Amino acid sequence: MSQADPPRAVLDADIIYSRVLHELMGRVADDLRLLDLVWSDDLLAEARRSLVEKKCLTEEVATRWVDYLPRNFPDGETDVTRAADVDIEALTDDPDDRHVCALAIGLRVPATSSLTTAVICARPSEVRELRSPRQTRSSPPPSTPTPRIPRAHRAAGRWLGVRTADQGVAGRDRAGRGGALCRQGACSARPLSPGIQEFEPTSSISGTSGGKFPKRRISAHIPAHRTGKR
Amino acid sequence: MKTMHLDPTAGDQAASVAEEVDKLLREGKQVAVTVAEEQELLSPQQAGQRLGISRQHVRRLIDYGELEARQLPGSSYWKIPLSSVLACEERRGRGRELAAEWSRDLEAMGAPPE
Repeated sequence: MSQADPPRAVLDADIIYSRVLHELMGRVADDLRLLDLVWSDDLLAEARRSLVEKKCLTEEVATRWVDYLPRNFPDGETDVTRAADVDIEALTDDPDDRHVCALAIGLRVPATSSLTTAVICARPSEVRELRSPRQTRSSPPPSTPTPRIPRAHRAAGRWLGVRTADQGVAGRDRAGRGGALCRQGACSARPLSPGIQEFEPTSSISGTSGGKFPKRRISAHIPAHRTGKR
Repeated sequence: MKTMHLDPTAGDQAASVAEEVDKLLREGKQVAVTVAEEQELLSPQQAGQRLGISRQHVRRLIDYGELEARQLPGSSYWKIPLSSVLACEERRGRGRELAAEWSRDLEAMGAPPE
């Protein structure tokens, strides 16, 4: 009866680098089924290299460290050969980010789940903040509570180039509908990163967030190959 | 917590339950025993209580195909067989065990916690 799937998420090497965060995200995915974690051999190799070089772990420990995803999420293995025809180097100047871009392209991340993916792969510091809000940020005043997930979504929005009219939230409403409606047309979003505009044709998504938060208009700049629409 | 599945076609299985209960009692532990028919139907609220999650999240798990559920004819209410809830519980237990094993291995290897 599967009508939907949990949002897919890529844990970048930054997250895998932290044992606590790594396990936390694993439990969120495995125990609560809030996410579907995906990984590739390239990503794990990058994480292993980083653990050995920056954390000074032995090869044996690093191998066991990155073994968490393949062992707990064997179905999450993703073939990134589909990204072979895309110039990954044009997407990012940082060589460390290339495997994540390849994975995202290989996955053809749909618009509704790209925000979650972005939070985790691009903003590990935000995730850390969510994990221990008292240690890293002061509590919001009671009159204007800041929900945790929308805060992360705003961070994702900044990364993705999503512009919200009032810095609002993007996500699913209480009925589980994704707040995205694809249509062709001009898009006023900021560029995602140098190179992302090279994808043609582009389309924009727009919609409203719902739930208990006030409805807000959102729009995002998503490359056509990622939305699957022409 | 242990769940035992008893098959009516396979001999005297009630004795194994009594044995298990007796073992725990001898260890001085307090024991709660729930007896239920596997095809008993639970509401999302009851399934959520059993799994330690909200009713809304149960509904999401149904949508994801993680929990088998059905709607009774002419009704919009979901009913979830107990067997499906138990299967989900076991799956989560296996995942937790794998995660704990991973943590133990890293501890034994002297890996830093962060």
